[in-house]
Amino acid sequence: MIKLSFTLNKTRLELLVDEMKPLSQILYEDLQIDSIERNCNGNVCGNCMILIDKEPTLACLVPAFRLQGTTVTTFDAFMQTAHYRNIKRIYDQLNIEPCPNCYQAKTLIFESILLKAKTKVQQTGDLDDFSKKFLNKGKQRFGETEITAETIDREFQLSSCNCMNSQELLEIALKAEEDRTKRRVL
Amino acid sequence: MNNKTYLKDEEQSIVDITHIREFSEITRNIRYVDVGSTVTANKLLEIGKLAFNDLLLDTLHNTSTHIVRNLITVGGAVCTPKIRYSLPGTLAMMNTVVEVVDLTQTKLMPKLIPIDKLYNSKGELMLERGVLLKKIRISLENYDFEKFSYVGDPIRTPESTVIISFRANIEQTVLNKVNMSITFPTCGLYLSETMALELNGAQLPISISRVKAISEKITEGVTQEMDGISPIQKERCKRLIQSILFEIEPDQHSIEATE
Repeated sequence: MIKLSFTLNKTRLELLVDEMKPLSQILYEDLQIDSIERNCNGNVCGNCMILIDKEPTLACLVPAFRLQGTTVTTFDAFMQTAHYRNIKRIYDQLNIEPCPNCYQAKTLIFESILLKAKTKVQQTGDLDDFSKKFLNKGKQRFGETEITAETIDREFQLSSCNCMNSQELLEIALKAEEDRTKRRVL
Repeated sequence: MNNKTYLKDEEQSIVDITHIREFSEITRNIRYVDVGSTVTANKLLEIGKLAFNDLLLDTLHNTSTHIVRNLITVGGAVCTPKIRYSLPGTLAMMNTVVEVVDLTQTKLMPKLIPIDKLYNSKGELMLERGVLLKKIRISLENYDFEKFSYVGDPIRTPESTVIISFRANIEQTVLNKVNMSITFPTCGLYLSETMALELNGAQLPISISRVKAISEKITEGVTQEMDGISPIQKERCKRLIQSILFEIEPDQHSIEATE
């Protein structure tokens, strides 16, 4: 057992828990938070996603001892942030959104993709000599943070729900990135 | 208070090494990079863009999603007890060595072990309890042709997944220094010497009949040496080898120069 100190939704907590207990179980059993999937038996369903130090993470894969000193944000708290409002705005604009089963997971996967997306690298011709040095066989490694269909297919493997197709996911991600840039959502 | 224990076969203490600086450092010289065992796959991918070859970057990039890569450490990827994922195969083919230290001894002497020697013939980890993996040493050698290829999902369907890493040098239109590793997640890691014997010195392009013959020979060799390979894995292995060999093309510039 360890004495665990961390911040959950801006509240500082101290718990005595088994050091290997997964975060998903801690949230349900010790803190009575039942808004996330607790145990999909290793099927990597993606429905236990929360934010740890602002990074989307699977709560079932984080043992208690890794939480020491971290900041955990559940989806309910994430919904109060500008980042969530940015994604929700795009859902409303396009009239597409994930189903209730995977809404949380897919929204946080979008958040993960958008956090990594930086300046778009459009074509080789737009790059300076320093950047071109990192290109290899046509692959835009320097622009790896660019949102592409390949990025969407890979990142959304984490959500086993098929309520949305790749085209819709890509459209949402691109529009959300554009919206964040325009509104300077940091 | 809830007194359940999780994921433990026996009572043991957990020692968290993520905060120890030595295990989270990445240092390099001209010939190799030392990566601490707690460095995450994402961190390695970010820093590796400036140092590593395409093969390792492709392997890391195709290791699950960004979210999961934040949780995967290099040491963890190498030390899973009974299942092998994509990273050990690529690292083994790149002659990577690991530095381990036996904490049960009075004198802590670090040892360097080639990564393929960490596993037995069934792909199970052979490090004993009390041995700590400190870092891995990855060589910075680049090859003319490098390819990482896989079929299946090593997490969801490991019993039908095949992962192949391949590299070779091409001089004029001749192949040499051919290396390949094949990973079957539930069966283990196979470093193919047959491939090197068959292909070193081969003239490009390789004929269709020869590609088929080589792929069948290697697949037969693998299934004889390793137990538990499923028929679908055998077929996938053969097809992946064929697709990789069909992709190797002689350097067009070299052909023009010799004409």
